[in-house]
Amino acid sequence: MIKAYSALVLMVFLNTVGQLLVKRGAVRIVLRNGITALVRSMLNLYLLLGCASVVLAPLLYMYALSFLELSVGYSFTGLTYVSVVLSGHLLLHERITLYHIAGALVILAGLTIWNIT
Amino acid sequence: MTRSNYSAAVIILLLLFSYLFLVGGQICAKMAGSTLDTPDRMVLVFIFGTYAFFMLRGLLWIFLLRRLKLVVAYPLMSIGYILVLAVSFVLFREEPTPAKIIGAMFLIAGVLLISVGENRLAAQRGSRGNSKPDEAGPETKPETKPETKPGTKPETKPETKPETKPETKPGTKPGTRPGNKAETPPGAAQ
Repeated sequence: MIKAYSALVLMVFLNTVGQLLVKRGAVRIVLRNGITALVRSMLNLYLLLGCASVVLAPLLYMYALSFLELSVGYSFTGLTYVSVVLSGHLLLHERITLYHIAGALVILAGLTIWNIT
Repeated sequence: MTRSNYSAAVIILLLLFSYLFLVGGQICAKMAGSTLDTPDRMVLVFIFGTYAFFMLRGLLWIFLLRRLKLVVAYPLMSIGYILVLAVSFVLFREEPTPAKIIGAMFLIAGVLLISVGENRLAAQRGSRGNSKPDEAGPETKPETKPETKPGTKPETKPETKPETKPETKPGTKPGTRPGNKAETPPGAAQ
């Protein structure tokens, strides 16, 4: 059980870090200088690491779901929205308001409700 | 002005296709799942489709993040849950549970809250009269788009739509008028 929950926490962490990295990498893409420059700029370390962690996260999710109910899994997925908004502000310095945080919390609530039977 | 219209249009297109690929991928996955135990060659097509849509969406997501703040783009993707709910009702006759309908309303409320936040930021920026107008403008539009889709389905989300709709819609139109055409190509290079 502990294993399953730590897998979920790790999933949230990987997803969040992955999104931050992808955002970081995405702004480095060069669109103007032809296809070679485009491909080369898309192979930057941020994007590669970001994609790796975003792809890895579902594996942890599936592992956790083999022990836990889907509704628990969904709540943790919802937690990602909160952590992405907070870390986007703290680490990427994107401007947010209290509305953003409230919105993320409401989305978390929505996904928590989602699978209640 | 035209440039921010152009970039808003790009963002909306990217968002629409992201949702489209998400739904397409889910449909493929469902079809693959339901044909898995039959000796049907189609299952391979569906599995391939699932991954293809997944990859395409990942690619679009990267280009979306070039233009949109992460704190806005990521929550917007939660609307995908609602679209999948609607599509699985229409195509696969999967009845949405009451919990899912309530959850869907929460998701919409969450996205609306974030758009309110963005409007506040845009207003602040406007009053101080400084940089990055194109970052603030588009954000009010994207989330009005996704809602129109599930809105065509029966009951899920009644009250939320009218809010930002009226003034954002006309805003996107002028950019496509021929008078502004001359201005868009430099934006396209950007």
